[in-house]
Amino acid sequence: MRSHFRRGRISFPGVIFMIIGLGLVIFEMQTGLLLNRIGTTGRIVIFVCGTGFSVWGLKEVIAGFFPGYSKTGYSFKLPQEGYLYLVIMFVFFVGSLIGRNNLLLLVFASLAGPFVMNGWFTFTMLRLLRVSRVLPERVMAGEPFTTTLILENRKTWLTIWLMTVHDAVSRGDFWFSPEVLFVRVPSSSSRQGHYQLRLKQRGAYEFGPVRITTRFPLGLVERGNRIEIIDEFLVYPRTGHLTSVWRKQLQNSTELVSGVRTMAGPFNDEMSNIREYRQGDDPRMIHWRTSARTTELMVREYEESRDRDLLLIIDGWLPQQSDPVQEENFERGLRFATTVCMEHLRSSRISSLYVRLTGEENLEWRGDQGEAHVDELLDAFSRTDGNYQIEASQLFEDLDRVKSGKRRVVIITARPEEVREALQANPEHRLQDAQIYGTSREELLPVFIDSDEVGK
Amino acid sequence: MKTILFFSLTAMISLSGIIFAVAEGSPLAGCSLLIALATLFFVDIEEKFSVPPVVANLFGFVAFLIAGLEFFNGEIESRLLAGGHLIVYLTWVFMIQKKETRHIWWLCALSILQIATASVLTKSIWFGGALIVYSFLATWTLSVFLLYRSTRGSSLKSQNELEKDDLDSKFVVGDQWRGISRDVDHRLLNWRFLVVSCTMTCLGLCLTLMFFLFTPRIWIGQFSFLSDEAMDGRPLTGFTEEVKLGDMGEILENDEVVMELALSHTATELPFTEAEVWSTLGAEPLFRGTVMEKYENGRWKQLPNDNFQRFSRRNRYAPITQRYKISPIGSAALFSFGDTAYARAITDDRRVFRQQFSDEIIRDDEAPLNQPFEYFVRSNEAAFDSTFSTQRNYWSRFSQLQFIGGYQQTLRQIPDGMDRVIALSREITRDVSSNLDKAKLLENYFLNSSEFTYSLDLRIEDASVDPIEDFLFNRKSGHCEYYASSLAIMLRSVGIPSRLVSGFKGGQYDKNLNLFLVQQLHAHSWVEAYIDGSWVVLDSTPATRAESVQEQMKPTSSFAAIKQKFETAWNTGIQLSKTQQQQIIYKPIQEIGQQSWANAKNLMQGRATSFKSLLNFLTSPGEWFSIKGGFFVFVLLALTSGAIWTFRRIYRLIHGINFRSQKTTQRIQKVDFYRRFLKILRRQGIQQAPTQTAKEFVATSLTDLQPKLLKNNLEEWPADLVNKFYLVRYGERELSKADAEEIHRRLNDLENCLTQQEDEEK
Repeated sequence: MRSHFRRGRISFPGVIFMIIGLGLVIFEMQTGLLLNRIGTTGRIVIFVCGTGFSVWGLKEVIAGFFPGYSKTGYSFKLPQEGYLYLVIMFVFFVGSLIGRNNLLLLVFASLAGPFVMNGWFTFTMLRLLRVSRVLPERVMAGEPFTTTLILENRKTWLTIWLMTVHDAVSRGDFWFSPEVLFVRVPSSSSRQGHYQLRLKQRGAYEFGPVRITTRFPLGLVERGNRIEIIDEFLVYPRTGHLTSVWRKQLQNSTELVSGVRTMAGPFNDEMSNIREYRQGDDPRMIHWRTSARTTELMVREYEESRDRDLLLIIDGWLPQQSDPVQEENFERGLRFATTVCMEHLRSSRISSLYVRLTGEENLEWRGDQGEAHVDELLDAFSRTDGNYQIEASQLFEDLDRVKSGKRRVVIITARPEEVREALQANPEHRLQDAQIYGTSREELLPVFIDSDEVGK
Repeated sequence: MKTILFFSLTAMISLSGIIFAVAEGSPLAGCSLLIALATLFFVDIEEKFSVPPVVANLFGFVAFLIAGLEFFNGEIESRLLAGGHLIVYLTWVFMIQKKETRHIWWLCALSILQIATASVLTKSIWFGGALIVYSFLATWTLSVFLLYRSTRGSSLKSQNELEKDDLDSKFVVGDQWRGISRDVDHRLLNWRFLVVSCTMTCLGLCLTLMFFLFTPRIWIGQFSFLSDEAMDGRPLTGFTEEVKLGDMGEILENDEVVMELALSHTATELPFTEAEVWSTLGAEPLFRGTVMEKYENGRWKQLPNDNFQRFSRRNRYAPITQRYKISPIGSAALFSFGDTAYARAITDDRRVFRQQFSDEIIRDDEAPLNQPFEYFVRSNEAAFDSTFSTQRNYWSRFSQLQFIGGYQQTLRQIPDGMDRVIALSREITRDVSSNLDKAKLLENYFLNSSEFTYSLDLRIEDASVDPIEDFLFNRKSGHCEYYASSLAIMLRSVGIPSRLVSGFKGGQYDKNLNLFLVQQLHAHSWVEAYIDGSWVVLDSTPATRAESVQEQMKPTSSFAAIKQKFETAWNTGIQLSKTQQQQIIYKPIQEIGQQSWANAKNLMQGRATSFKSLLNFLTSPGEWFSIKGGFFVFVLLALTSGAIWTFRRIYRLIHGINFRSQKTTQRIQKVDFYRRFLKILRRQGIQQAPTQTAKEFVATSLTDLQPKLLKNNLEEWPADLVNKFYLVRYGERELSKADAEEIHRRLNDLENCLTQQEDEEK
C-alpha cells in the first residue's frame, strides 16, 4: 500500500531568505558598500535586514522539517507565479541601479509595494479565525455524507476573502484533504460551507487538523494557518443482503438439533399471529382475507426461525502477514456479520441477539437492551482489527451462560476448517449444530450478497 | 465572471500597450489595443477562433526573428526598442490563443515588462499617472483571476483520479467533492469586491511610495540604458560635469533655490543696494559653472584636467565682492559672475581652486558635497575673461603649447556623422572671414530665426541621428542645452574653438534678505568661443526662454500652482540622486527623530523645555504642514492606536473571564438535573445513545420501566422533564426555584421507586 504521509519538508522560501540575509551581511562586511555610500546608518540597516531575513528563513526551514514545533501553525508558501514575480522585481531593481534610472526604480517599487501588501493582508486575514466542524454521528461505508465547516471571523474590522479551509481525513497511512472555499466572511460573523465525502472502507477515521489558506488578493503569496480541531469518525461496515438460502439454512439447522417440526410458510416458519403490515415485509406474507376484512394490510407473522435467539460468533483472526485477499475476506466477514445483526434486529423485536466478537479487542454484546446498544455493536465492528493470536478454541469459552436450546449459533470465520476441528475436539461446548460460515467470496456467495456485488 | 476577467485583462494589456506606444512615440505597441479587442470578442467570449499552439509557436519564432533584426541593425536606443517590440509581439501571440491559466500569467508578466521598458524611454509626468491607473487595473485583474481560478467548477476527485495518484494501492480511500461557500448575495463579484480591490491598490501605492523614497540610490553601475559609454561615476544632476542632451529639461521646471548671492563693495564692505545689484548683474546675469569640452554620442563631458591653480592673492582687492552660499548640488563646481579675479572659501578655511584651461572654479576635494558651501569671489566690472586672458600672457611656454596645441585642438573636434551640420555652418558663414563675425552670424542664426522656438518638451523625431542634427533639421525646438550644443558644434565646424558652459542665467532679488536668489529653473547652457586670444560668451537661446522662466516662477492660478508642485515633485523624484535623497528624506527624518528623542528624554526628566517646544509646535499652524508635522501626527496616531488596542485587549480579557465563569455556572445549573436523571437510568442499565436526542431517548428507551413509573405516578414525568431541559439548555431560560425543587423531588421519587423495585426483585 502506498501512503500519503505528512512528512516534514524543506521550505525553499526559507532557504532562499536565509541565503539572501546571510549574503547581504557578508557582502556588506566584505565590501563596505553601504558604509561608504551612505554611512553607518546604511550598514546598520543592512545588518538588521540581513539578520532578519536569515532568522526568518531559518525559522521557516525548521518549521518545515518539524511542523509540530511550529507554535502558531502559520505557514508561508511562494507559488510559481510568486517566484517569477520576485525574479522580475529583482531584475527591475538591479537594472535601475545599474542604469541609474529612477523611473525603473519606481516600476520596481510599484511591484514591491503590492507584494508586501499582499503578504501583510494574507497574514492579517488569517488572524483570529475559528473553525468548527459538524460531522454526522456515523455513516456506513460507501455512503456519501456531508461535512459542514463553520468558519468564524472574530476580527472586528476586517472581512476575509477567498479562504480555503482544508480538512484532513486520515485513517492509518491514508489521508486526503477535502476543502471548502469561503468566498467572503464579514467581520464578527461566520459562514458555513459543506463538502461531501464517500468513504469506502469501514474504520475509525480522524478528521483534522484543519488548515486555512489564502492567496487573496494577488495570488502571489500563499499563507496558511493550522488549527487543531480533531474529531474521530466511525464508518460502519457496509451491509449487503441475505439471501433466502441463509434463512433456509438456519431453519434446517434448528430442526436437526431441536426436532421441532414447523409448518411450511414462506420462510418455512410456523405462523404465530397476524399483525399490521410494516414497511419491508414480504408481500407474500400478506393475509388477504384479514386485510379485506379490516381494510388495511395485515400480514402473517411467523415465529420459528426469525424469532429464535441468535448467537453470533465472529472470529477476528487474521494472519500476521496477511495478503490483500485475506484482508478483503476479513472485511467481507465483518460486512456479513453486520448484515446478519441488522437483519436480525430489524426483523424481530422479540428474539435476542448475542454477539461475540474477537479481534484486537473482544466484545460481548447483548441486543435485548434497547436500540441504544446497537451503536455500541456497530462501533465495535468499525473499530475492530484482526488478531493473529486468537486460537479457535477461544471462540467458544464461557459461552454456557448465553447458550440455550432456542438459540441459533452462527460462527463467521476465515478458518472454517480449523473451527470445525476445534468444535469436534471439544464436544463439551455442545455447538455441533452451529452454522459455520467462511468469509471467502465463494463461501458466502450463496447466503450473502455483498454491497460490492450489487449490479455485477 | 469569466467575461469580466477577460475584459479586465484586455483593458490591462491595452493600457500597457498604449503606455509603451506613447513612451516610444510609435504606434506599433498601440496596435495591442486593436488586437486585444478583436481577440476579446472572437477568441475569449465568442470562442469562434483561436490559434493552435503549433501556429502560435511559429509566430513566436517569427517575432524573435524580427526583434533580432531590429536589435542588430540599430543603435543603443534601437536595441532597447527591439527588446520592447519583442515583448509586444509575444503579447500578441499569447492574445490570439485560447487562454488558459498560464497564458493569462504570461500576459500579465509581458504587460509589466512593457511598462518597465516604457519607463526607460520617457520621463514625463503622464507616466506616473498611467502607472497609478495600471496599478488599479492590475490589482483588479489579478484579484478577479484568483477568484476565477479558486471557484472554477467543483473538483470531484474521482476514484479513477485517486487511483492514478496511487497506482500500487489496492485500497482506495474514497471520493471527495469540494464545497464553495458564497457570499450572502450568491454573487462572486460584487461592489464589495471592487471596494476591497481599490483599497488594496491604495495601500499598495502607499507602500510603493515608501519603497521609492527610501530605497537607497546606491547606483552600482556607470552605464546608462541609452548609451554604451561608461560614465565617469559622478552624480547626475542637471548641471554637473557631464550633461546628456535632455537631462536639463526637468531641472528647468524646478523652483528649488540653488544659491544665494550677496553683493558688496570690497573696499567699504557695504552691501549693494537693489539698484546697484541690478545695474551690476543686469536683467539676466550669467553665473558660470562647469565647462564641458568633449562631445560624443549626444553627451558633453569634461576633459580630464589636473591643472588646478590657486588664485593669485594680488587680485584679492578686486572691487566687487560676491558672497555665495550654495545648496548641496552634488558637485564640486562653484559659480561666479563676470570677470572673476579671486575666490576663496569662507567656512572652515577650505580652499578654492581654478582650473587653468577651463577657468572653472571648484572647491577643495575635502569639502563635503552634501552640505552647503560658502565662498566669496572678487570680480571686476570688466568683461568676462579680462583677468584670465591677461594671466594667460604670463603662462610658461609649456602651458601655452598645451593650451594651443592640446586644449584648443580638442575644442575644434567634431564627432563623425555631422556632415550636415558642417555644411550648414559653412553655408551660413561663407560670406565672412573673421572669426568674430562668423561667431555672431552663427549666434544670430538661432536668435533671429522664426523657425526655432524655445520649448521644454523633449521629443525625438529621428532616433537614428545625433540629437543635434535632429534638433537642427527636424525638431527646431528645444531648450538651452540644444541651442548651446548646436552653436558649439557649428562654431567648431568653421574652425573656432568652442566649449559648452553650464551654470545659471537670471535670478530673483529678495528685498527683505537683500539677497539675489538663483533657482534650479534658472539653469542655463551657453557657449564660449576662443576668438582672437580671449573667450567670448555666446548665447543662442531665444529670448522666449525668459518668458518660460517667468512662467515657471509665477503660476497664474491655484490649479497651475498645484500642477507646478506636482511637476516639481515628479521631476525631483525622477532625478533623485543619493545626495538629494539624504538631504530631502533621510536627514529631516533623522533630525526629527533625534529631536523627538531629546524631547522625550526631557519629558521623562520633567524638564519644561520639552513642553514649551511642544506648545510652540501646537500653536504654530505653519509648522503643522511639514515633515515635522507629519511625524508628529504619525507618532500621535501610533500612540492612540496602541492605547486603544491595549484597552480593548484588557477589556476583552476581563469580559471573557467574567463570561466564562458565568457560562460555567449557568451550564452547571442547566444540565445538572438532566445529568442526574441520566445517572439514575444508567444504574438501571438504560443509557442514552449518542444518536438519540433526549426526547427520542425518553420516548423509546423507557418502555421497560413503564410499569414501575406507572405505579409511582411518574409515567408522564420524564417527558415533562425533557421539555424543561430543552427550555433551559437551548431556550436560555432560567429555572425557577419552584421548578428546580419540583424536579429535585421527582428525581428523588424516581430514584427511590427504581431502587425499591430492585430490592423487591432481589
